[in-house]
Amino acid sequence: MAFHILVKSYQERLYWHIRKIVINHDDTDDVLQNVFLKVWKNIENFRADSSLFTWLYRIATNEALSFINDRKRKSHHLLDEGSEFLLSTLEADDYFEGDQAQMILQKAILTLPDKQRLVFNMKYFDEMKYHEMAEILETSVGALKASYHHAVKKIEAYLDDN
Amino acid sequence: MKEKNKHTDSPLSHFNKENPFGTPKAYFDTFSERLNSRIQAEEKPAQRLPWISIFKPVIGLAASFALVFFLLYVPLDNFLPKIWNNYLAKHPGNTVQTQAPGDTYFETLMNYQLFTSSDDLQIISTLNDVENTMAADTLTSQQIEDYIVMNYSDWEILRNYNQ
Repeated sequence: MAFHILVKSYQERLYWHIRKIVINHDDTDDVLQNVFLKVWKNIENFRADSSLFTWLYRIATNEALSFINDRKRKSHHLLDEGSEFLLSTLEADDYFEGDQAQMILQKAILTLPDKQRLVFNMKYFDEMKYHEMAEILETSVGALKASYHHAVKKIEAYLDDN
Repeated sequence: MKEKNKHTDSPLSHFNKENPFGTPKAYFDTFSERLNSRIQAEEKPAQRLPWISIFKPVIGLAASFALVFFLLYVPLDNFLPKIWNNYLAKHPGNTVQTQAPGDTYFETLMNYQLFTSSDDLQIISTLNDVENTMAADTLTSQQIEDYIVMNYSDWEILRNYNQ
């Protein structure tokens, strides 16, 4: 019962976090189920040294990134050609409801390395605080600020060119 | 301290932050049920395994670790000093220095040869520009490593490693 409440409480927020990483709805659904399965199997291992929200987000982030790397491997893409693979996924997405400007912005975001894209999405769209992101991504606030700074520059350059 | 949003004059300020992605109808209403079905399908009765089935993977794992250790140890032990010396020869007097005491890992990190001398300075400049509390003279290898992981793709790191 408690697990059911946990799922209901966090499913949407985790879904959108994963969706921004893997882009496609069906893939997001798979990853989200995998996340909750992992939570189900490991809930007894949860230590209260981080919040439940941080723990869940961390699992979701790792599962989403693993999914993308796995998909790239199976598609025989080079490590840096993931943006092409995700770009075609974005363009073929049946559930994309944005306008042309939002499509261009999403394409700009897809030019970023996966982890940098993650940082940008968490800061720009989710408006998370750096210290929250640092807990989830297990990295320093300084590195996150630098990464976001670079991400914004790259996206602005892409938008200027397009 | 409030974190400032610096997008006021940037092209990004012209975009609304509305979520452009959608979901099928009633997706979230039915998610819990589908998840429960999957959990039930995954839960199978425990079977008693013969002891050889338990020890086989353990022995295999130990052998894999030993193999990986030797595959890494031999080349690192033979080639790492040469790569570091080559780097120093190419970039005399322009290497980022850290004063973090006993930070020998810094030397290993620089062997990635990801940085030219101008990139070294750019990192410090960027980290200082974004108003964080790190000063150049306390820059540690962990901070540099975090920077590399965040801003370079795996391909870029591997490409530059052997240059």
